[in-house]
Amino acid sequence: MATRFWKFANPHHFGKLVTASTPALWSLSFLFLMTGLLWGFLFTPDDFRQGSTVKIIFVHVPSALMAINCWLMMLVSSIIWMVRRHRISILAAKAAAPVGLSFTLVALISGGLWGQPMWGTFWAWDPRLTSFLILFLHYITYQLIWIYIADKESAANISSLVCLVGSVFALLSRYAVNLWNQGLHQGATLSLDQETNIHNSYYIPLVICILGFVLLFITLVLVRTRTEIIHNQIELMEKQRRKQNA
Amino acid sequence: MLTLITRDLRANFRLGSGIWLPLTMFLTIVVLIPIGIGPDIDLHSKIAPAILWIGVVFSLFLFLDRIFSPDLEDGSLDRIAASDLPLEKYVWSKIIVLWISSGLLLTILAPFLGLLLNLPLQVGLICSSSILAGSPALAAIGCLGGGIGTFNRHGNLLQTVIVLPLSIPILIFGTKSVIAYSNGEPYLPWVLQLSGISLASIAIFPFLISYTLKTVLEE
Amino acid sequence: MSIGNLKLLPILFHTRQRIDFRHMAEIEETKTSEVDLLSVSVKNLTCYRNDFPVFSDVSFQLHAGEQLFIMGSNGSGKTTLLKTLMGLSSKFEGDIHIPPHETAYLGHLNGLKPELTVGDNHRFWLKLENLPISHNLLKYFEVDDLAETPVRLLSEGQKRKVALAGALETGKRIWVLDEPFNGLDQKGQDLLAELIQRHCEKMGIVVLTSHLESISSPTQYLALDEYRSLKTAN
Repeated sequence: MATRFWKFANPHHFGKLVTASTPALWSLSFLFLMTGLLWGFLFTPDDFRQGSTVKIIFVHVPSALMAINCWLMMLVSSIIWMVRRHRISILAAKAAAPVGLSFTLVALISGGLWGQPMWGTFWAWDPRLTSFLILFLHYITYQLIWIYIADKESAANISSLVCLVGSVFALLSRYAVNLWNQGLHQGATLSLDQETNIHNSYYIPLVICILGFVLLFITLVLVRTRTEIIHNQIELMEKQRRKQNA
Repeated sequence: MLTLITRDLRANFRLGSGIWLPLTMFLTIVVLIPIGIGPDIDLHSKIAPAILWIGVVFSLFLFLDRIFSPDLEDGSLDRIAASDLPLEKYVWSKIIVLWISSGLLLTILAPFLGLLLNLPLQVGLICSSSILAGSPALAAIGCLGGGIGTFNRHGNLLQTVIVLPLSIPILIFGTKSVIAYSNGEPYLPWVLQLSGISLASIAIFPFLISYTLKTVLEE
Repeated sequence: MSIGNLKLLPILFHTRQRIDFRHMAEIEETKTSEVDLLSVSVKNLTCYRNDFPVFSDVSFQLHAGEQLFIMGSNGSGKTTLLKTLMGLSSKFEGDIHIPPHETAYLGHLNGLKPELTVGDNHRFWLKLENLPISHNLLKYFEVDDLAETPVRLLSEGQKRKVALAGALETGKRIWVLDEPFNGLDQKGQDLLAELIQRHCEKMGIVVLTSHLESISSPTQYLALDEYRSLKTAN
């Protein structure tokens, strides 16, 4: 099993896997997203307190969930790069960063739009909101490293280091902002150990939406990683040509 | 170890800019913010801990290009890496130098600048103790920025921008301790947590920073 | 012993670097008794820069008392070879045997702080190796009267002499020098060549590079241009 998994660390095998699976992945994520969002927006009842604004939940919750999971995925790939030095691993982290950044932005903006009618303000320095803003900052600094450090291998090393340190400090910040003990944001929408989950009529489309976001994330990361690999190969060929001309 | 520290401190003092730049930066920030707010004394004393802490963060983080880049440019880094001395020890001494030449001086200066902000001297001393507890961690983070700065050949403040988000938890604990004291709550737990972060940082960061330096030496 | 030797965190260290610890132990045992075991050897060394090999399959072996002169045009990989030898680069294939605690290294940069005096800089490099302060080589290169002068006021040749004095006064038995003759005047070049000669006679090993004709009298030559390689990585 393990060896079969590492087989995809070979750029060639990886490229073939991506090319074979993208059509199916694109259509599946489209299907899930369409079903979930249409069901959620059109065929669920309004909340008795929040009215129809509650329906922003179908964008807000999945994107917030994916924003965090994407950072975790980047952390895991960064550690794999540091330990085993697989190029695809770090390229996948690089490819995932803008996707995660977009998810974070979507979560922040949709949260603001939801907060305005509910709390009367677009933004509050609530622990959850603040830690998301901090996550957003970490995504940006991670992105900056890839933009500004020209040498690819150095950028890979530094970005994985910053990802590692950033994770620890983001967790610390999460713990620290909780101490402000001031919170507007409601508790977790979905959790496994609680009885008081949201009503079933919301639950099923929400789960479908989350699946759609997960599939979309996987598809985007796979395609972007393949693009990064091709980019790298082109660069290598250019270097080689320059070398031979010299 | 001591050799490295004394050499860097001596170079910092002889260059002048090594100690005067952070101090001037600190003073300027602490003066500029109240000027921007206007002469509202109550507001000043309310936000004084935050101003002092942000002043510390910026005056430490704005001058990170002086930590490792000079050693890389004049070839000292190559010679030290090739010598018997472990790179981690060298990095550790750099953290200590950065802390002495800015963190420690800012700690001493903080309560007096607090007076400018209508902060009672006693509260100023609490603020200064929290800066004393937190600045080693900031120095360690700053050195990580310095290590990243060695890749930065554009002469911009990339390293500062990258490490600033890492200072958030320290900023929160630091200001929280002062606010807790003014509210009559126990402030020591916050200072102790800050010291914990500082100790962990100066223990772990040398390894991370020497990883960046090894990378830059290979370029 | 020290933080750096713990190596508890394998992720923080490059895994490709191969250091022969058996060999190092051997050297430390025999340090006092048998001087003759001192040797530097490189087998089938290929160094990479920017994902491409700079040179490939370089091999040489040096015993006590030998001197290797590495020639080559700009970009042929002289500096890369020395850096790899000193463990500053892990982008290589092949085997390197060099006792690291016995080696003094000076790159093409001097490693002097311009705002400190000559004496301060000299003392720093000696103290770093826990050695007593001596000004013998500063005297030898005739720069000892500059001891109180800040390094930024010195000429390039004088700086080179101070750097050489600091690196070689450490008493290490293997010298690895990158372009040591650069910037030196005729007298300085002669002095350095004589110093290298004397070191070899005392059963030391010297590895040096230059783009000039050799000034000292080496026992081995390595022309890196012949090993230049165009073959691609992977």
